[in-house]
Amino acid sequence: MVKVFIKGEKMSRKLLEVKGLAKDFGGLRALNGVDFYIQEGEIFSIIGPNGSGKTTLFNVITGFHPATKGKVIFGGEDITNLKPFTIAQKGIARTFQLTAVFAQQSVIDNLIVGHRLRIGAGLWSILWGSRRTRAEEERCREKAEEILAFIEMTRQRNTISGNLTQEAQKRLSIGMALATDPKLLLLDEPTGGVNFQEISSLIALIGKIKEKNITLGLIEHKMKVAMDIPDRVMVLNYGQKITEGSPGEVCRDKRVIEAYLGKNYAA
Amino acid sequence: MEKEVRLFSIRRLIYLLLLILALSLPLYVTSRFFLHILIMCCIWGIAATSMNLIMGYTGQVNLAHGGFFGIGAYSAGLLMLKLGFNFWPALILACIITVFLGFLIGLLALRTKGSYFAIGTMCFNVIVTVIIENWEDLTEGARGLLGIPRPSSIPLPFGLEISFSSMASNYYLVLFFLFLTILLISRIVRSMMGRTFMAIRGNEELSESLGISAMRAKLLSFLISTFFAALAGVLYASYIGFLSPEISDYHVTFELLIYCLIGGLGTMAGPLIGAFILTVVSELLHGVPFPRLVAYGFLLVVITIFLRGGIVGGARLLWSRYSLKGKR
Repeated sequence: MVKVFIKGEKMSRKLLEVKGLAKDFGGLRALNGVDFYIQEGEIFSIIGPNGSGKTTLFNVITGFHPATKGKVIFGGEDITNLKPFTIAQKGIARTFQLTAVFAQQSVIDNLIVGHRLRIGAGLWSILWGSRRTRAEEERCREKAEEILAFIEMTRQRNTISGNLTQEAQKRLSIGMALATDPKLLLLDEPTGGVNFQEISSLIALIGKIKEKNITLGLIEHKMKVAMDIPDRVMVLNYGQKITEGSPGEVCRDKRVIEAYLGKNYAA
Repeated sequence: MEKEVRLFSIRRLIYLLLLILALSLPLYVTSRFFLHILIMCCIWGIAATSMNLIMGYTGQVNLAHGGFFGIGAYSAGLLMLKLGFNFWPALILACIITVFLGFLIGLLALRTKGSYFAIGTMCFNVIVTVIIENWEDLTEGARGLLGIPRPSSIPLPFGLEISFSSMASNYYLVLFFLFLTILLISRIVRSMMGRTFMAIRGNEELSESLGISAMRAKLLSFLISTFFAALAGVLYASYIGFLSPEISDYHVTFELLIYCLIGGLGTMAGPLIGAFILTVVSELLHGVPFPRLVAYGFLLVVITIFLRGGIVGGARLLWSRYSLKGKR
């Protein structure tokens, strides 16, 4: 009884809550009344066929697209339609489906700028060359070194990031998101465009992030990733939530099989 | 690691030598003509360095820079001639006025991106020139402003003073401001703020996802570059003593752009090298009937095809090839 109570207490700590979220692009309804929540400390996965609105959902949560209707609540605070940089400052970091890094700069420089939002860097103190500014820059450097070791890229420290492999760029982009000290990390297809052997190293990295007590939300296509690592899964189709539950429940769900494979397989 | 330290000190040595050279130049260059060229080099160097901050480091192609140069020059000229201001307060006020106008323009123009921003700012530049030409009550229009005074002398204790009547003293004045500009802009570029600007140049969307307010950073970069453009304009106005609307023309913008591109955008030394070389060449060819813009155009085509990074970029490429060979 006590055990259940404690579990219940834990369950109630919702880090992110999305209520009735809708997004229209002109006449196209990309999201239609999506409700879900992400609990603190879990890995929450969003799956669905192509064009079902997964990336749009991330874009609306992180402020890149304004929501047409509905609310996004993060840590008890309404963050609907705030600007992307404000949302990042509040503690939601994200990666992009098309891997985005600062291609002309070295790996370490990419990571240093990732911590920019946590320091002041005012114009006057920079022009004056004040000691505080130098201390802050030192902090960014330390953070970058820490992340560099965490994502296991110490050997590529000075490589220009445009020259990295796709897997390494994914790793770096996750590292940059981590450098912002997020509470919630949203990964848009962290294993997209990466070959089979390299996937397991990315999965290991995601596991390590969870151990650091950072809550994760991920969009995934690959069944191995989508079904093995998350605690809970939500399925989207045509902008609507079909179902939600543990990976085991979800992949037996009739409606999910129908959405992915068509009606004939659903029996 | 050892090599890095040694390279660093070589670099310092070069800077020191350049500084000594710049300071001692008037000792052996006594010709008024050559000192005039050096002064123009410094003024255009300030303007090109400031343009480099918004264009080279922040990646926003600001084609209104000549306009701000002109606004700075005209504000200072009008303050001194019509309101009887002293040079030094006029210098400060002109910079403030220009930054304020830059703030209004930047707020509007920076809502656009890429080539739209370039076109928008260029239109603004044209508008500035048209206003200066036609607002005759204030700016004297095409007749221009005549007789803008040189800086007033700075009194020192013991009855001494720094006066700006000789060419050499004017050279030291613009040299001082050139060093100040280089010092401050290189500080900005090396700081986290510079990293922020370069992040926006790299990928604006990604920067926003990392908690950087792109609009704020771009506006800041725009205003800092506007400030130094105005500074160059004021120095020009007071040194030449005469202003006509052409000084705010978009041709000025394109000349600055060419200085940056030829020297190397996004490097500290590039715009300076570009400004110095092209100013010297164009001043030396002043008497020769020579289609300067045609020559610039040709040079630009050659640079963009064969030497993308300008002179500094090319030198870096050579250096990295050379040091790679050394390793093997």
